[in-house]
Amino acid sequence: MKTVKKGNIVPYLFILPAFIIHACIVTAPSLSTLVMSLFEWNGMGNAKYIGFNNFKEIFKDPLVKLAVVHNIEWLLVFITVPLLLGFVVAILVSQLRKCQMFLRTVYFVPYVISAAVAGRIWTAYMNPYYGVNQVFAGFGWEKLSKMQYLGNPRIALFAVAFVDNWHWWGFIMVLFLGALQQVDPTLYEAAKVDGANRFQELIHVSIPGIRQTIAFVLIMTIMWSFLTFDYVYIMTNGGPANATEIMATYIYKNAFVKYRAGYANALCVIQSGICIILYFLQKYVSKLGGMDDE
Amino acid sequence: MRNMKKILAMCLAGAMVFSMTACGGGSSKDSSNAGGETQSSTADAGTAADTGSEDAGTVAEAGSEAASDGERTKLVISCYLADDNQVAVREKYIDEPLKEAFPDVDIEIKMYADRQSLQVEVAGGAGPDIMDLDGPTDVAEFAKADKVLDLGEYAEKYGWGDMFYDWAYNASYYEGKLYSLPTAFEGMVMYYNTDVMEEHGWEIPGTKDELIALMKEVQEAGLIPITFGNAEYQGAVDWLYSTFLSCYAGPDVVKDIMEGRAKITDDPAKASINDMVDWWKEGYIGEKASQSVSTMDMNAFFSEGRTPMMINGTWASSGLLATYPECNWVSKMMPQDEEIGEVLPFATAGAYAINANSPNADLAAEVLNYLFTSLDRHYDSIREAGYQPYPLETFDVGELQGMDPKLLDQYTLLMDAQEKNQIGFCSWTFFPSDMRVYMNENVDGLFLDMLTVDEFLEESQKFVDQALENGTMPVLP
Repeated sequence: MKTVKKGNIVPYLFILPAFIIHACIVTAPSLSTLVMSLFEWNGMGNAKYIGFNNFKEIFKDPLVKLAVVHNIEWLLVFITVPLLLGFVVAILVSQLRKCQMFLRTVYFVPYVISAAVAGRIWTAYMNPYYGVNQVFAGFGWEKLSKMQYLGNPRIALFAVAFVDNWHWWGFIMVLFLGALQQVDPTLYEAAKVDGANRFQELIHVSIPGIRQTIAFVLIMTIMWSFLTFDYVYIMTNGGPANATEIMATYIYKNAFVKYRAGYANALCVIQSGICIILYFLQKYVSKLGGMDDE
Repeated sequence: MRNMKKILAMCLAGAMVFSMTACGGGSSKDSSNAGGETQSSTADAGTAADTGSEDAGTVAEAGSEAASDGERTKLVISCYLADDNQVAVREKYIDEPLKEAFPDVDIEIKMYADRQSLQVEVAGGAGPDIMDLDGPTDVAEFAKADKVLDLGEYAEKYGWGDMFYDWAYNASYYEGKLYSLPTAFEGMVMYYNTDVMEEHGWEIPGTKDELIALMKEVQEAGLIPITFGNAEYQGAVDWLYSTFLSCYAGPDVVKDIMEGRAKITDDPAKASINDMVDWWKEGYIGEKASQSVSTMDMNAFFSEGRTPMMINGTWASSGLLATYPECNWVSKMMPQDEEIGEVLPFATAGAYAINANSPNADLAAEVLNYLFTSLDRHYDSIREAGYQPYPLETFDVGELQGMDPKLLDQYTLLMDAQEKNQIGFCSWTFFPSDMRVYMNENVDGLFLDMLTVDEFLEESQKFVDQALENGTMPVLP
């Protein structure tokens, strides 16, 4: 019995270095975020303990509500558009015998372009004076040529989401494509023998065959939607009139523009809480739908 | 075999812990060295307070004394990220002269890619000895955290109080203590593209009414009356409301508001903000598309002749000259409200502060004094590289002969406005920082009908009241 116990220590010793690194650079800062959320702190000097005042303020702050609503809108876009597009294109590309690698590369290229570069390029395209509006004006499309994609608070968030989608869907497509290629081909043959058509193959073979990838993509999309920052910050800086303010940009502004690091920490805690709730919700729904990623 | 695995695992874990300890050890060793440097760098630079670069030798002697034990003292000065050309210019006008003046000091000018890196370093108890910060409101945040030194003693020693213009020097105080020195100053002006003006036979307007009449004519001619954009930086609206409040409510009104004798919700201030909103809604400012136009686009539209006018800071002039050298322009004060007169909203463009953790504070003060007293170097940097002038009372525009005439005119305008006390107030120097953040985030809401002027001003007034109550209101001259 004693020998077995001693033997069990060895694997733990092997993971100890990784655990120490994780504890130092992930766990400790996370805990410090939790602690600092209870302080009034400008990010540099001594912090003053204020209990749950930051959290009380968060629930009264109209910009937080606005940011959460924007994050939910962002999530709804990202949980539908790139997933459907990525899935459909992955199915189509997986059928190809030739040019598959070429198409895969072409669709994946936007993902490797940095957000700073892509954001600037698309901001220029969306400029009302020299962007795509000039092309629309050339076609005589008067109404479209006067559209202010980033200047109209009603559509600015979706304009930025469009650009992030452009960058993101190729990655989803490659994930789905890789998963589809892992599905046992004999299952398709069996389905054919049973008289299944293409659509039935898709429903009864392809989708069940990649359900773990679908579950993974869903959970990551949900979390990334709440953590997204770069495109919004680069393209609109949260404007116009806070129409694209999301949690991450609001946290950044509080920490580094308003010098309210304590409040920003409290916002981080709320943001993490939302992500955790959504994670478990997604796990539950996936389990109900037979897409558990266990 | 099992024992081997155990030993291997323990060795790996041990190595990991050791390496982390070693990292920590390194920093403590640095600290002790730094302490040593403190002793070796104590320099009496009283003689360096005299003006002129001819004093470089005297300063050098002080530097030599500082390194009397043979160790070279290291002094780090922060600066903003710059491209290769800007670095080359900086090396010529700052790095090299500093090296000559302080031959025994290892001076490093350290570029920070963003403000956050500097803030995080300073929060961790490190950071550069001299920090180039955004201005007094930025310095105030470092002061609240006790991360910058009170420069009072050095100011007395070097006579800084008599060197700077009062408006700029007094704005560097926070809660009664001097925490920084203004590195440059700037103002909000109206730029006119003279080619476009001449082509259409338009005169430069002298009054607000003439400006309104001109904007209508410009619009009828199919041009944008005044270009403006803040697509990539929402906060650029502070150029507008600072200008409108100072020029069309008046500097006295702004001062009364900030000192608690009036409210921003009262009529003169409210009327000026209403004017700003009305002009935007009429399409006079930014053709109702300012949220889709970047600040770079602004300059391009102005230079390409899409617009005859641009409200911008004096900082834009060197960019215009470098990027659009063929564009002909002049800069003037905003057309005046006849009851108020001509006003030029001023701001300090940056501030040097000394890190409270600096082991070489005396030397840092001496270096600062050198920078502000080596006027020949400073004139050269303005004349040849378009650097912004320091707000020094002894500054002589006559020394700038030979530089680009447009820039020279602008500097003359700035100096004259100071001489004649036509000083207005830019929010980034003279407004409480919370108020400025609120206004920056919400002016677009006014333009886009998401907020009323009354709501906006009532909320802004709360920040004024708060700053007055806390004693954190910036000092207005």
